[in-house]
Amino acid sequence: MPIQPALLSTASDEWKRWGFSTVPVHGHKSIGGRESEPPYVQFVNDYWVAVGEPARNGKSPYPWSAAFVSFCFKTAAAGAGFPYNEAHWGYCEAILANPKTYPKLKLMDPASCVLSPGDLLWAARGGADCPTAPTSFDGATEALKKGRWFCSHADIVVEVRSGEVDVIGGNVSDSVTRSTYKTMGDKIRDPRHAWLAVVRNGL
Amino acid sequence: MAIHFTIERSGRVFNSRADGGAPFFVGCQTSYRDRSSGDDFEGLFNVPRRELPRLLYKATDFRGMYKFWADFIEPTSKCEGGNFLTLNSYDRARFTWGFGQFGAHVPDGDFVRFFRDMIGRPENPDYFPDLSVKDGRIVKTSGGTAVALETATSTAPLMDYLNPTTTAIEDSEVISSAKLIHWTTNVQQARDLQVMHMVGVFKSMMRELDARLALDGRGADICLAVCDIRHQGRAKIPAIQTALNSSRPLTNLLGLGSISYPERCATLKSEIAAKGALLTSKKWNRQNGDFV
Repeated sequence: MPIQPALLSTASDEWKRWGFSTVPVHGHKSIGGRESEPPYVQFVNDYWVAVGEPARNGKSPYPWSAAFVSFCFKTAAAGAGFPYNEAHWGYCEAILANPKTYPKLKLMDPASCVLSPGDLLWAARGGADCPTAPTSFDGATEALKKGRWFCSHADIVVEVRSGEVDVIGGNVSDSVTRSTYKTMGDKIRDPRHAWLAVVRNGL
Repeated sequence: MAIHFTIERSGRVFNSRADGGAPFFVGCQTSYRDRSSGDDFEGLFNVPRRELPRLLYKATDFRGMYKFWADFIEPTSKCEGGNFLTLNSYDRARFTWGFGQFGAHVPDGDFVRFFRDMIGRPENPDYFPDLSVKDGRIVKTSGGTAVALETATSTAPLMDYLNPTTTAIEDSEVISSAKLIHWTTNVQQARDLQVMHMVGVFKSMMRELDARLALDGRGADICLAVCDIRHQGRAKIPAIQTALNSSRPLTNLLGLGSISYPERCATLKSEIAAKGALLTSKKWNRQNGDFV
């Protein structure tokens, strides 16, 4: 049975639990709960448990967006079908390197991939201790194959509309946030990020 | 790895090199006296100059993404020079950038919001490695300490960072300009971000002006004239309202500020006329928050 309905409801339930934090294409962002404040600090612990780090919470100095993705897939009963990891780079590397282990997940070029609810949208990210990140699908897959780690971020696609896509992700403005991005022909075209891949989710 | 920018000056012309590469044009020194305050300013401009690459905004390139709004913002872009690389550091805004001339002087304004998104892109460590966005604000990190460059009430530190004074041309002013020119020339998404924000500025302006001027049902040509007036700031709401209430609203709107800014008003008039039915066939619809 496909996990997509459970994945979407898990992501939406978490978004609700954090107070409906929202980042629109235009206009002001609205942030509900923040990671370092109770009770949200403990919500982050729920995500870390999913990747085997039960001592961490919202005050720990580690980015938790991949733990959030892992939590959502685990809660949606993806079982052994998803390579749970504390870094987006880590599960993308596992998907690329082990297609027989993860046959229902595939990295796709975001320039040509039509988005569907349940997919993951993967983007490059900068940061104080981050090496230079690739800015394209080819650059990202080459880095994955060569074991060159870089900082990145991914969100779960929850709604595709004409010209826009809504995604829910963790550690976005220190919250679980629903962001809207520009699309064209249901392909991601928003210039705010360098899009590396769509993780097509057939689970 | 941060790109190293150097400055080359020849008379009033400033060029730059990135990591020792070929020189590229940044801007020309100019002086300006504000008519209302009598204050003198000195800074850089680069449009119109033949040395500047012709990276022009064209509505046709963006209709697929922004539909009618790609055309709605084009006349104002032409009034501002039309070039994605347009720079002005010689007036009270201290630093205005791009084909929409986003000004750094407005808290939470167009430049600030655009620049936050630029800083969030992965190329930022190449250009402004000391800048990042924390808690939604642009901060400068120096010696392990992060200092906010903008708040809800002031952008003074950000303006100081980009252009320390308006009475002379400083190295940091030329370098900041060179970085934005190099980034925008070499990364398509830096140009796409300008378009996204310009559309956002005009969408937001339409909603705000509709609330103040009752634009529901007005033609897009008239709405565009109103937006351009407010974007440049050449007339106030009561004067615009009087023009709107007249028997020839478009003509009278185009006349506002035409003594001080005759070229801009003439350009706007011809660009609106060139759009023809594309504008006149659309009307602002308050309920939809869009043109229909």
